Amino acid sequence: MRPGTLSFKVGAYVAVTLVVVMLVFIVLVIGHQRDQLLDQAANHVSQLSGVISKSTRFAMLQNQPAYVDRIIHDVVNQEPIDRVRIFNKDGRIIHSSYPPDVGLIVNREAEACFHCHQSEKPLERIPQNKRSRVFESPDGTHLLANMEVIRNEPSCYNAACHQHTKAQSVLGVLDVAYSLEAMDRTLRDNAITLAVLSLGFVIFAALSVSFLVHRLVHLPLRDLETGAKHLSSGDLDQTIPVRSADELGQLANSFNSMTAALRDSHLERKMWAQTLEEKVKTRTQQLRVAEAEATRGEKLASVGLLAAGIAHELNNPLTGILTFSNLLRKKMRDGSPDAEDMDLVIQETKRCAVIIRRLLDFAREKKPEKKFSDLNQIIEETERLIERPAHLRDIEIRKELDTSLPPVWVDADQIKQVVMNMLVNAQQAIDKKGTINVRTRIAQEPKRADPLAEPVPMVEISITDTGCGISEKNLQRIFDPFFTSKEVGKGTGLGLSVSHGIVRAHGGLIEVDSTVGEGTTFRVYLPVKPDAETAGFPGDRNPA
Amino acid sequence: MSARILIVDDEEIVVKSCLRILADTDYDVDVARGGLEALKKIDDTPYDVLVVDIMMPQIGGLEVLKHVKHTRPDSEVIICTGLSQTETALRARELDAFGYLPKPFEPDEILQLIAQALARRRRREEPPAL
Repeated sequence: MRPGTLSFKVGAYVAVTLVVVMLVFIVLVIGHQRDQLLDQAANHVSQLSGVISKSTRFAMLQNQPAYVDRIIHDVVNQEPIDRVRIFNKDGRIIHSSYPPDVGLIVNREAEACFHCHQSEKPLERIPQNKRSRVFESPDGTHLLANMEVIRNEPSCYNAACHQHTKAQSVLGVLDVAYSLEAMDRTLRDNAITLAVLSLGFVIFAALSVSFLVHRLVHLPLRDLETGAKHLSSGDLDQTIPVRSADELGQLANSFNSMTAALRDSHLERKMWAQTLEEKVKTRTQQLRVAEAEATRGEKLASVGLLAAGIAHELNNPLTGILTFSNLLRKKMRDGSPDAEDMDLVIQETKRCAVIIRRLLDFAREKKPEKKFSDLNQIIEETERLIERPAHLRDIEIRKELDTSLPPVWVDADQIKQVVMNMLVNAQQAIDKKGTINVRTRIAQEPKRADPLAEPVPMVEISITDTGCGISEKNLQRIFDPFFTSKEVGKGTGLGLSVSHGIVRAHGGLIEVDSTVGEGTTFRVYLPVKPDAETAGFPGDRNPA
Repeated sequence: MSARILIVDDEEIVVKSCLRILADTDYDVDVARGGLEALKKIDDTPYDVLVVDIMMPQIGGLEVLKHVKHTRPDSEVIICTGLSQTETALRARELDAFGYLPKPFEPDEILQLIAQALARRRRREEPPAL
């Protein structure tokens, strides 16, 4: 039990209170006991005085002082009588158990005499309760002394010795001193015993009260304190023991209920925070994609302006080149090396014109003219166009076309262009020998055309090649205009960008998976149903 | 009397090309190196066929076309452009241009188009058959 705790304080308070109470009790008890013992002693001494008085009477009548002394000595030998003295009327000690005192005259103002001689005329009769007195002897012990007046009686003044006259009423005083040492010892012993017992009781009571306070108050409060500390440190799983059904037990119950409520609300808040965090994450990702789209859009817009400028600036000199090379060629002999060279110039100039035209077409972004089309048929037709060169290079084109595919609302020419682009890319990715897998099916799950759009059912065209693959760095840029990883002259860097634009204009999306050295899969998703601005399926219309 | 042809273009290389292509013909070829110059020449001389570039500073090809059709409705105009756009082609057609020639063109293309324009020009001059 530590100082400062409630148990300690209550225990100490109880102990101090009890000590005070017990001290008062002991003082009262011992005092009462002392009074009783003193009364008894006084009675005893009074009786003894009577006995001595009567025992010495005869010796005195016989005028035998030696007998008186003998009797007095015999009596004093009996414990606890301290001394016996007889004073005559003048205050002289005429007999004493302590012989040197004999003959001494005691002053009337002496403590033993003062009681009767406080007035001019001494008291002749002393009441019984005033006859004894207690005083301290020079050696420190307490003594109880009793005054017995020796009266003049007829036998005294008629005695033969004629010592006393009839006129005398009092002949002397018998003073018997009784030692109270035994009584004091008894009282002291009793006081010690009482004190020891009381101390034992106080200790027991204080400990009992402390223990009770510890059990009933301290422990539940400590539980509460520990619980509160856990709470403040964020540990909401901790419950505190309910030790009783009393008020503190109810408090512990309430505390546990409060902790549970806090835990629930904390969990709820955490869940909200998590949901919010996830939402923020998703939105951020969607925004990032949207931003990339926007950047791509801006790039396309600037590409449009650039293309217009290039077309205007380049076509004029190309006109000159084409004119003069044609005119020169006409002057040359067919089949001559010069003619062949000039043909090459003309041919390449024309190619430049075609590139510029393509660039313009790309920048212009033709709006798709949609109608219900059979996707499988589009793929078959496109594949026929590139089948021959693919075979020549040991490239096999496998098809897994889902015949249950519904007709889709697309511009067939544009989708052909997309498929063609993908097939040409796949073919160019394969070095010598390899496989291109073309598959159509209903997409496993509804897809979003862009991060902010609602998911809708789509059909999927996947084109997988066993080519060189695309590095992760390039994968992020493949849809950017003018991005190409092909050799100079082999690609314009517009194919995938145009495809991307076409598929986006159809409300669809393109996904790419690629592993360098293993191959690439392009997945084109197109919505099954027409969008809001174009006509829907006739079968879908609700007659109502 | 040989047919009068006006080439309107601010690009020297195109003018040179046209002159060189038409040098072997018996056409009477004149050149205007801008829209303003073209308007003046049109007011002074009735041309049979004009080959007009669209993108020129100050006064563009379509303005020239409008002026020609206003002052000399019988003249034929071939619109020529380095920036081939459907919208401008349609606009030229609306303004009764004879043809639309995207650059770069080959000598035969322009020759053929001028010949066709002249043919229509002549048909217009002929009195309606009785």
